[in-house]
Amino acid sequence: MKDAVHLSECRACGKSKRPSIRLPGAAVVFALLHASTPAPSHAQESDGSTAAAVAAGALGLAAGATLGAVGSMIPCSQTGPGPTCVRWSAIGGGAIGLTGGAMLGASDSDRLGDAAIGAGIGFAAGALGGMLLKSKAERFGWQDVGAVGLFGGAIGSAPRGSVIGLLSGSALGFVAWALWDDFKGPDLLGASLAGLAIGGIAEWLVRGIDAQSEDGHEFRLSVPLQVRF
Amino acid sequence: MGRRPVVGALLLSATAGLTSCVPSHRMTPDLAPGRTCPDATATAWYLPEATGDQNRLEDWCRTVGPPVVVSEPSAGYGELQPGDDLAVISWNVDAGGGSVLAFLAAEHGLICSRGASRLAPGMPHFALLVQEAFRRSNEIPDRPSGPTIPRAVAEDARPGERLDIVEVASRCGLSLVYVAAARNGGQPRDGLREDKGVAILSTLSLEDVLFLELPYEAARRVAAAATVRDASGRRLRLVNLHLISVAGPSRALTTGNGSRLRQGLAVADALDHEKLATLVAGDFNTWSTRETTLRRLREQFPDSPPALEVGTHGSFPTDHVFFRTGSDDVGLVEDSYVRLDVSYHSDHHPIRVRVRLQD
Repeated sequence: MKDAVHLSECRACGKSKRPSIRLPGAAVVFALLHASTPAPSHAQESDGSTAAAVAAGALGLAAGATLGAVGSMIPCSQTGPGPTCVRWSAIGGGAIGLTGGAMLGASDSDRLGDAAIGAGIGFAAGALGGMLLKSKAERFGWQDVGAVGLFGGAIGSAPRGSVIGLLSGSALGFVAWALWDDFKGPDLLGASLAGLAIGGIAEWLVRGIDAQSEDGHEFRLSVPLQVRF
Repeated sequence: MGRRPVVGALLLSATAGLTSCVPSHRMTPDLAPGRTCPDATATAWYLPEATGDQNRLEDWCRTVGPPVVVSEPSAGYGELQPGDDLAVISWNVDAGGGSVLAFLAAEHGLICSRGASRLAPGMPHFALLVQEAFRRSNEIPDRPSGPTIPRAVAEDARPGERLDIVEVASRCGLSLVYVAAARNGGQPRDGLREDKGVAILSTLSLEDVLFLELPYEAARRVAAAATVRDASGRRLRLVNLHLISVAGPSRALTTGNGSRLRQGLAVADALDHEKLATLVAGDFNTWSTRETTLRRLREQFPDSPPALEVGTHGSFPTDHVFFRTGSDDVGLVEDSYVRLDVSYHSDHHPIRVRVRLQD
């Protein structure tokens, strides 16, 4: 299917399948993120362990909670519950990340390494961006550099889902922005971040389910999305 | 399966961790032990109940000058008669950017001549609630630059004198309540140090002054409250606030982006015991009229006018009015809540509402 983005993993069919991306002029950032993440290794190549399950669960928890919090911040700020809504989104994201991560680590410790490397790259990129901001922005402390790094790490731990989500959220946001006067610039930013978060959290869950499948089940997520540059 | 308890424990601890960091918005009249600033003997204060907030606010407080309270207007504007309207205006003047004198002359027909100042015939008494008001004085302590001294507010060049709020009140014979939250830049300007905060100027007497030091969220913010009354003794509480615009990413993550909400609820908490008709106005730094802070304050102030669906700071509706009737017979004049179209060189438009103290 042309102009579609597929996120697919094959667990027991003899070779791993990387996601195929066929966007005309696909975003450079996506390509970089995609290329920077090592190809997923196969479950049979490296069995999981309790230690790997705990480590992957912790990574998934941190990434999911961070993505849940950041992604829900703007939409939730327009609701009555506000911060409570953000908190529950973080808990939901964290729970999904924890579950997906634990399932992944229990089956395949190598893929935990992939996620950890991605998170490390993302953290470094985020922290670097945070340091640039710190040099310019007032009252931007080291804890803020850390927070931006954490967000970068969360994206880096699930780059494909995050980017697909970001693009989808932005596309939907643009449509809403064009259709409704009430939907303003910050709402558009909120839709993009929410999409990024949903995509990233979904990737953690997909990984976990995929890793636990022992019958060669293929999980395929297809997003019909046309993007022109 | 042996991993389930581990996963369950992680989930529980994560849930507990995420739900435990809910910062309190409660306020107290008591200074935390060890605080030397502000001077709560001269004027009544409400402060955050959380000691951590008060400790951080102490450092900021020590960089600014003392509040200014001029209870009586020096000009003879006369009393507010029962049944008369009072115009209440809220305006972020962008420090020296907005021309307050030009505003008062054009919108309220005020002829400023110190003790001989007067309102144009037929113009109502007013109370002007100013945010980002600034004061120039070497009463402001000389402190070294640091994180508690923010940059000066960026002002656009404009014609006319750059008068601080104390000078405006003096020239126009108005009563004045001014409280600084922070310095307006570290360096003196034309030989005088500057601080910035909120102010209430009025043609009426300002009584029962109360300052509310809001919970610490990236910077110090202080709200000011004062009461006006008509000739028969009916009273209206006026509260002027300026909430934080942006907290840092770490604060946003740990509070669920609840910085403005926390400050807004702190104001409501401090005023909770008061039974007077109360009008709260100011710069809430909101980018939509649907924001949580506004929703929650509407619950606390159920007689508020519908939000203005127009931008007051660019396209963003940052400035708002909230109201609740009290034991006295006081109400808003229907359809009187408007945004003024001229911004008088500020980056915010003023908003105005009329209040009637019923006969």
